[in-house]
Order: sequence, then C-alpha cells, then structure tokens
Amino acid sequence: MLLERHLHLLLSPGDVAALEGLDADHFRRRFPGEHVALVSIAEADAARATDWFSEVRVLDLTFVQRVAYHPVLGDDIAFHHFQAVLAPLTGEGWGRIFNWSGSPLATALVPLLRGNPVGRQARGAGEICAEPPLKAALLLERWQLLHPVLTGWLRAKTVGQVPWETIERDLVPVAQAKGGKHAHPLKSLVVVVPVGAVALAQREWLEQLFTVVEAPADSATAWLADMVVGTTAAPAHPWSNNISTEALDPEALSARLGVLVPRALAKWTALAVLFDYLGNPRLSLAAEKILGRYDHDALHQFLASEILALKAFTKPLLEGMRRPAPDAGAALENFWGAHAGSVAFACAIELSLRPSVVPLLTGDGDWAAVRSRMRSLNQFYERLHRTSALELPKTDLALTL
Amino acid sequence: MPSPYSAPLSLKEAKSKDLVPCIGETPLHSLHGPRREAEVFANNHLAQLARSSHALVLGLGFGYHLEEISKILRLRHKAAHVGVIEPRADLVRLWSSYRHVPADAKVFSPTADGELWNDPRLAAFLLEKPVVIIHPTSFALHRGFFETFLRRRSPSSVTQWRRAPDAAWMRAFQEAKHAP
Repeated sequence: MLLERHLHLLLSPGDVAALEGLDADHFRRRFPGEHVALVSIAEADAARATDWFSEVRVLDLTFVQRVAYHPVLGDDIAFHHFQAVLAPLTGEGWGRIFNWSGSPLATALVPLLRGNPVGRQARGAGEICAEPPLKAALLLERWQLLHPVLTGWLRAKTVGQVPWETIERDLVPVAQAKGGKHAHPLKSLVVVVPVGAVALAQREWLEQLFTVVEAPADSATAWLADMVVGTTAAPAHPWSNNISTEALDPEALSARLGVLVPRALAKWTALAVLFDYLGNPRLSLAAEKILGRYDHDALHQFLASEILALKAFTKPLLEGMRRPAPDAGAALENFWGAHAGSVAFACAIELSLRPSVVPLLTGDGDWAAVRSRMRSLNQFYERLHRTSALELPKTDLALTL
Repeated sequence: MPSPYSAPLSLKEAKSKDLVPCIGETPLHSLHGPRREAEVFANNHLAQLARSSHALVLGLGFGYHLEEISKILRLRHKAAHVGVIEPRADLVRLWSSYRHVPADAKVFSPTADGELWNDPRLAAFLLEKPVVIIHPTSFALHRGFFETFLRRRSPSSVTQWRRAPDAAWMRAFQEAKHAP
C-alpha cells in the first residue's frame, strides 16, 4: 500500500517552533504517511532539525521578491522561480494540507494544491476554515486578541493534543501561590515563586504568560508578575502590560495599577473561557479563582466595565437578530474590532464553531449561538460577583439575553 | 555563410601553444598569444572591475579572459564572482573538458528550449549588480543573441507578462488543477 503524503505549509516566522509543541509520534499515528514541509528560507534550518519531515522544500520569498522588483528581471521571471518550487507540489495529490498559520500567502496557496486542507483556505472572495480552533485563532488575530501561547494551544487542539499535563503542572501551583501572602509592592499582581521550585523549562513556559521579575540577589525568590516588564510605550497585545523596571517601587506603581490590573483581569477572564472551550473545565475554574484573588476594588471596577461592555454589545446583537441584514454582521464586526476584550474573545470562540469565516454571521442560528454565549458570559460575571461578595450592578442583561 | 549557432566548432593551437577555439573560420582569441591578449583585455577594464566584485562577461571564448578578470577582482575585492553568458553549449562543454574551470566562475547558457532567463543562478547573479564586460569576438559572432539579452527589461504590464514563456505553464497548471 502506498503511504499518503501530507504537506505542511510553514511559511510564517515561528511556524516550525509552534509544531515542536506537538507530540510527533502521536501526530504520525493520527496522520500516517510521509510528511513534507514547504518552508520559508528563515524556517528551513529549523524544519530540517526536527524529525517531523521526510522532505523539506524551501520557498525563498525574499529572492522572489527581489527578482520581481529588479528593473531587468521583473515579475515574469519572479513568477517562474516561484512556480518552479510550487509546480511539483501542485501535481501531487496530498493526504492533508496543513495550513497551520493561516497567513495570507499560505491561505492563497491552499486552493492551488490537491488534497484535504486543514486550516484556512481561500474560496471565492472570502475564506473558509473547517477546524474551529484554527478559525478561533484567525478571529482572535483579526481582533488583535491572539497571544502566542493561545496560538500553540489552538493548533494543538486542532489535532487533539492540548498539553494539559504541562499546563496543569505549571498553572495550578501558580494559581495556588497567587492566594499566598507576601510583601512585594506589586501585591495582587505578583505570584511569588521560589526560584528553586521552578524548573528551567517550566519557567520558560510560564514566562509567556507571566514575566519573571528577578528578586534581589540575597532573596531566594523570583517574582512572576501578571504583566510584561518592558519599555515600549504601546503594548503589542492587550495582555502585554508595560512597566519600566525603574518604576517598580510602590509609590510610582500605584498610579499605574489602575490601568494594569484590568488588563490582567481581562486575560484571566479570556483564559477561563478558553480553557472551557479547549475541554478542561477544571482549569477554567482555576482561572476563575485567580480572578477572585485580585484586589476586590479593582475586580469590582473591572466587572462593572465588563458588564457595561456586554450591555453595549447586546444592542447591535439584538438589532441584528430582529432584522438580519447584510450590514448587521458588519456592525458587529466593527464592534469586535473596536472593543477588543472579553466579549470579543467569547464571540470568537462561539463563531469559530461555525464553518464559514466570511461573512461571520450567516444565519439565525449564528446569532442565537452568540447570544447564548453572551448569556454564559453574563452568568460568569454574576458568579464572580457572588463568589467575591461584590454587589452586582443593576442591569436588565439577564432578562434581555 | 553558416549561422554562428550551427557553424562548426574547432580547436587551433596558438603560437604560444595554447588552445584557441574557432567558430567556423573565426578564432575566439589571438592565435599568437591568447593569454597575453586576455591580460591586456582585463587591464583595459580596470575602472569597471573596481566598482564591483561581480562581473558578467558576455562571451566565454576559451576562458583566458575570465582568469585575468578573476585575478583582478580578487586583488581589488578579496573575492571574485565571474558570470559568463555563452549561447553555444558545445563551446561550454569543450571549455570545461580542456581547461580548468575556476571555482568562482558560473556559466549561463540557454536551455534546450532557448530560455536563458529561467536559470535561478542567473537571477541571483544579476541581483548582485555585476559590471558587464563584453568579449568582442564572441559578441560580434552572436550579436543578435547578446543584444536581445541586453535589451531585456522588466515587463511593465500584465499583457507583456502573459506573453512570457510561463504563460504556457499557467495553462498547463490550470488544466492539471481541474483534472479529476
């Protein structure tokens, strides 16, 4: 019997690194056969270094681009070199075509190949994506909510390999440590973890969600803060809070905590929704508990703002449900783009369960599903109020939704 | 008079005992001292060769001038990259079997379908902005070929682009794509 051949499109930076998080043996059992990679020149060495691929083909896009812009060579010769790499791939029938990153280039290439695509593929004027986790990644990316950690988890979920053991091993102790008393000026933002108790690999992983703030040399602890310590003025991601290391004294920080804490709270809200979607309600509960361990005043303010955002969202949602029109979907799309937060995150998760990507809301079922997800989000906020003994703002959300 | 592409290729011995290829009756180098002639030829292009470590030579001859150009480039730039455009594949074969092929030389010849530009090595070489040096005897013999090569410009419209040989591949590709 001839073995099937599967093609992996790894044309974006970090694509190969993201694959390394998956268990190669498990993957090969699930997709038996030969695995071939089409990689950018920057990823070529990394792809060859892994034992995933029996064959690595390189598409040197920088070269193609330089040829295209050359006054003598130009587009036609650039195209020739581009197709010289692609032509052998287009003639072959692939078992699966993995479009892991969903980058515009990889998505544009998928319809040129023959096989069953996994991930985004261009169709007509729009795109479709049959795998909910990858579609969720696409929507989160579009609304600037995608975080590198989430990318890895969502890709892993696509092939049923979410590394729960690692996540639980690392996150649960952090959640427990978060409730402990300590004297650091960052108070509720900091998780105190003794350096000796954190293995190097574990620390590298945790640093993606937290930032290790090194304690003084004479101290035996490092600090994992719920923020990224850096100097850039504009964070690339809503979760990436920025404080300068000079500003770590309590006086200078107090003014900034009002900005930083809600971002950390938004992150844990999103993670609570995501863990539930990924299939681990226990971790979802752990994330919810972490929220309850923040400063209560900050949590109260955060929840009030979230409920107001949810209330603002229900108006276009219900309008669209009453009068489904082509521009109703666009109104919500604009809302999500402009209000990147927990509501958009929960919507991305819900909409990812629908097969089409564009347009986002294609029928009554989609609207109702989003409303149902919003109802769950509202219940989540109500539950947080109860567990933290906070007064619930008076709204008619429960009735409206 | 036979075409320079079909004219017989032969070898003659110069007075200096070096081999000189002839296309028809035309020798590609001096029949007295081809090495001395190549040395003078390369020295005449000193100013050009000072500008870049990459030189594109139009006409292979029997490679005497390439060796001299390579020497100058190594002296000036510590590295030499010599590319040669030669329309006659049989001359390239003859050269590589009789002479030592320098490691820093790349020869670009048209493929069987007459296409020269599809060679990715040529595109990579041209991206380095080489200085262009004409070997006069070869150029005179294959004037049409070299002038077409030098006249080439990037297509400025899609119409021009579609006239390129790759349009045939596009059609073949479309057919393959829709095949069951």
